[in-house]
Amino acid sequence: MTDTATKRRLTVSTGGTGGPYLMVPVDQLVPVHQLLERNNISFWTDVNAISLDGEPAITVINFGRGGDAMQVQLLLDSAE
Amino acid sequence: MTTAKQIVGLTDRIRDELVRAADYYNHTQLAWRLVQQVYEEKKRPTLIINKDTETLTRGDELAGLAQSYITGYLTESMLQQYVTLFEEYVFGLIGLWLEAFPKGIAGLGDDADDAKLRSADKLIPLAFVTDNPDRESILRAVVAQELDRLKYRRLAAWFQYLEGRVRLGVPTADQIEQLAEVKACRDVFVHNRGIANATYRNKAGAKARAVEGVRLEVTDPYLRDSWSLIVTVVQETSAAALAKLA
Repeated sequence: MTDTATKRRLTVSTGGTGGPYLMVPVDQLVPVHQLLERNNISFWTDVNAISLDGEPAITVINFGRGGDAMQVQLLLDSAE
Repeated sequence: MTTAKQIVGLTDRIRDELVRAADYYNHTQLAWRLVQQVYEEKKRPTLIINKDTETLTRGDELAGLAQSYITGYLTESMLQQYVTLFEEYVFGLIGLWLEAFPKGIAGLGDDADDAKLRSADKLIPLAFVTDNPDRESILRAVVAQELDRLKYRRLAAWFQYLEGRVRLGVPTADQIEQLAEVKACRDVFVHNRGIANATYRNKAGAKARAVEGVRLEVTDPYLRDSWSLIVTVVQETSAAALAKLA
């Protein structure tokens, strides 16, 4: 799945010990949520979104400490 | 000042502090999200130097650490803050009620769950009478002692005690169970590095979220639900207490 704002691949971040997370433009939340729910992925999404330098607002989907970054990335890569 | 006004003052202060704490949580989370966007989306090269420790941190490393801070340190410390404010409210309210209606204070029975908490401990030291100048001072000392003993009991016992003094009918049994889990979770972070143990399971009862040995997770939805629960219970309990005084 491609980030509609940057045209780059949506990438799950894994730094730190807080569990994987995904930064995603707000206008792509619905298809990403649907993809995750269809595959029974546990997640929660930030209440806030930030628009930096006038660019599309971005929010964060969190997968928690037990989240499987590779599984989510494979799902994102296989979806268009 | 009347008891009603004191209860209104307590409720307003605790609610204001809960709102300020929730705003602090939200703003701090946003600040860290900005850091993540700057380094992950904008790819701005940055090197941060801690002059005390000489630790070097790259911007992209900080973005990863930020997730740990947001979903770990921040939520866990905020939960502790929320529960502390809730305890302050509950014991503030019970204290105001006991000072207004002190008759029969020495009514705290044995605790079936804890052999150390016996009703015999309720003896009032003679010093309370000899060292205090008037009835109000003696009463405050007696109430403070009563509250100190009550604090060591389970959360459900706090509300049983309050209900025994004044039939408020709130919080509901389900709210008390939820609050008991939230407080048990807080206690685990204070006393056991966040790792669920038998004490947590026992205190949290049917609402327990983890088996023994597993580290509890304080997610953003859990934290926000806990905050809403506490605010609701504070408002409903005060409203019921004020109705009794009307």
